[in-house]
Amino acid sequence: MKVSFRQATVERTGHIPALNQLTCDLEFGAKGAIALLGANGAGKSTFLNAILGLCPLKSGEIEIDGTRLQEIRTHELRRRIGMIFQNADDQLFSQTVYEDVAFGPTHLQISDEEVAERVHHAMDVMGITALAKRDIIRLSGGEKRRVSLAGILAMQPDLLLLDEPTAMLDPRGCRELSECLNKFPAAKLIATHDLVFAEKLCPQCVILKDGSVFAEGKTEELLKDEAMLMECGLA
Amino acid sequence: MIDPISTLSIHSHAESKSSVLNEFAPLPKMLLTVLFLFLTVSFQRYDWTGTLIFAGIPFGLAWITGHDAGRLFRRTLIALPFILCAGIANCFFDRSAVAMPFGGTMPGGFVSLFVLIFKTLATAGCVLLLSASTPMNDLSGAMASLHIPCVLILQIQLMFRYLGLVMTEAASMKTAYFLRNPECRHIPVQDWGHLTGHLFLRTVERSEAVYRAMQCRLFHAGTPLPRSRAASGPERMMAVSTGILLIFLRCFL
Repeated sequence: MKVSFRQATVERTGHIPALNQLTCDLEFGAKGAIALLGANGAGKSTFLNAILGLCPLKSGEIEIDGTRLQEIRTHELRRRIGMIFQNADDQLFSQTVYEDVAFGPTHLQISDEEVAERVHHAMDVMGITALAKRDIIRLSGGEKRRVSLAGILAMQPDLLLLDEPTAMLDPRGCRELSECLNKFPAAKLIATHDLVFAEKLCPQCVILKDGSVFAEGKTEELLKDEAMLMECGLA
Repeated sequence: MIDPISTLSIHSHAESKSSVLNEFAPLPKMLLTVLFLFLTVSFQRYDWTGTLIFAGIPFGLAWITGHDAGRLFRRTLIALPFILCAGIANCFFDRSAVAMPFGGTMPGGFVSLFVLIFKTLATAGCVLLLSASTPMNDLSGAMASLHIPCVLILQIQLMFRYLGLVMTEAASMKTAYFLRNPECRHIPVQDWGHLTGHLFLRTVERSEAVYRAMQCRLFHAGTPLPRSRAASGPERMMAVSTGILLIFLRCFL
């Protein structure tokens, strides 16, 4: 899958640019992972939201596999691209774990049997089968993250967008999350300022600063450049 | 003692139980609840014996089926201040004497206030018991099978989610407030205004985020509603006999 930004500009309230004439090409392999790095306010979340059409572009274009975003049906776009929100509480809104994981598949116009099969498979992969009947509000931070992932996995997307996935997770939670992500059978775009996590999971990265691409390339090499990291607020 | 906000989650604890009530099909359960509400509000304003017995039914049922009747009772008490505000004036304006079964009379205003309280306990208790024993999706499915318009059911579902957010945000604001006012036992009235405004803004922001998450998982206004489990023969029989029993109780109390 290929995601391209062409001179894309998105404004926050008050005409403050969140993405500023941003141009870049992200090419994902079948299970490839790219890190989207940047300090707070660099435009990482807006970048992810823009891919899903959740925030309007003021100018420029976004293309998914060469097709302009406006030409792709919203249903199709959101079926192909899943997103994990920064705050897991925003992502989980159903009553029980099972219901939440089933929320996406029930909107895919597939049979009840297939919904159940997908939900069980996703819960199995994420190791949350035992939590199926648990109330969402009674989950720990790490469990919420895994339930969020299962909810997206059940939709079988081609690309997974993750917005600060390690936020509010302890080291063990981070470790479990990276294990879960390794098992996730889709390409991943991970917006984070957790450099260790990014280096562990993503061979490639894009660094944003003030809504524009500041650097891109191999994660291992870019993260060695202390001066550059200082300049973009990551060190 | 009324539960603190943090424990007043509207999410049911249905998942932690496997009682007869939880296993019962949602549609007859919902219809019985509606019948019960209808019968409860049909009592006359001085009919305190009937309302008292009806007020006991939800809590008795909760106790029999293994739900926490005490907790259910404490939750219904939240509605009490509103009822007291509505009914307290009766005590001053309704001076008519009402005969009591144990002899003597009582001012009609007091009797009607008690009737209001019992009706509130009965109706709020019954609705809370339904929500504690039935997941929202099943209730939506039951409403859909009654051909209630899809738009209305979606509104109820979204309202249910929004109420959950309000509860969560109110709980965290309350905690934050008292942590910075350790000597304070109650939030002073002068702070209610800006706290309520702030709560509204916070919940609007969070509800927008939740809605975005729903959109990401393909939610739209024409979304198919969940289907609930159909009632079995014995469940239908049970529901019909319970309904008849409730009508019988109402007629002879």
